[in-house]
Amino acid sequence: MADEPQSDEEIIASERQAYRTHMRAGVLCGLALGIMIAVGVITLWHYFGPLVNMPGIPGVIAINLPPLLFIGAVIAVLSVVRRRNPIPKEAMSERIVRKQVDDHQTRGGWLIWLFLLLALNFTFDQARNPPQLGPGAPFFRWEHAATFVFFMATLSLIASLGRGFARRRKFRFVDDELSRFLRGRAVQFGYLAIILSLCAVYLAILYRPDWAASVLPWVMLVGVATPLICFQIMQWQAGRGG
Amino acid sequence: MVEKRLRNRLKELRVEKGLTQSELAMLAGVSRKTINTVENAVFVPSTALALTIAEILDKRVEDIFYFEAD
Repeated sequence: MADEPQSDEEIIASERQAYRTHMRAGVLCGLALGIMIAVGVITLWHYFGPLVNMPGIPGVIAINLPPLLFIGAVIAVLSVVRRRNPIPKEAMSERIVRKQVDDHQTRGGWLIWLFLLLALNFTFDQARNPPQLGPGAPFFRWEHAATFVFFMATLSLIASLGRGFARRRKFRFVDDELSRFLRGRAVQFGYLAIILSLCAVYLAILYRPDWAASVLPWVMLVGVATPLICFQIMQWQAGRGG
Repeated sequence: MVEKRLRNRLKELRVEKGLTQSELAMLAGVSRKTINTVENAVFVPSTALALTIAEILDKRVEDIFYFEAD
């Protein structure tokens, strides 16, 4: 039974099934483990901290500990589940991976639009309430700005390296000759757009320096969105007329 | 100076050989979109890819790609 030849569709389905199992188990077990550890740590700290003259739980730790533990637990559980339930070897073959990449590029384009919508919302929020940093500024303001910068940096990596840059197995197929050519053109448009926006911002803040923190997120959005949109449009055009 | 445009007979030769775009892409180690854009003269392939395609189709590069005066 195990040696029966499988069709490409069956291999892809089994790989997808294994991937879903990893994700489901990773998220559920990670959530449970993360919550358990966070509750345990906070409870222990709350009850036993005063006995050993420890200060109360600082707000930064109380707020950040549960999500950080959750992320850590998901990564730990995912790696264990992946090791115990490996992706079938046939699914690693070039033929199958190419089919998957083609399928993802055709059907997964909407993800980029979703990310761009999120980025737009994030930028609007940042521009409306620019973090006023300085000596004595609360940590949360810094954290808010850092999250925005991290999000934009990740999107710029996607724009310049391609969506599959983090997946070693698929990267060499995503990053083929045509993709590099299209990405090069898209990044060129982005470069032009970001330089023009920066020129406009530079001139504007000569008159209104207080605008700087509000308009810079928009420049970052322009720099990230232009190549991503151009690349999506060019990819779509490239797939037409087969 | 006369402007030259790069044209190709890839589609014709591929069909003659009985290959689909996906099959040729697989043999050449590129995506189907790459073959599609080369056929539509949107993308000019690298020398290595042009030679690979020529080898698969049992032709010379000059039989597939040629210049056309504008």
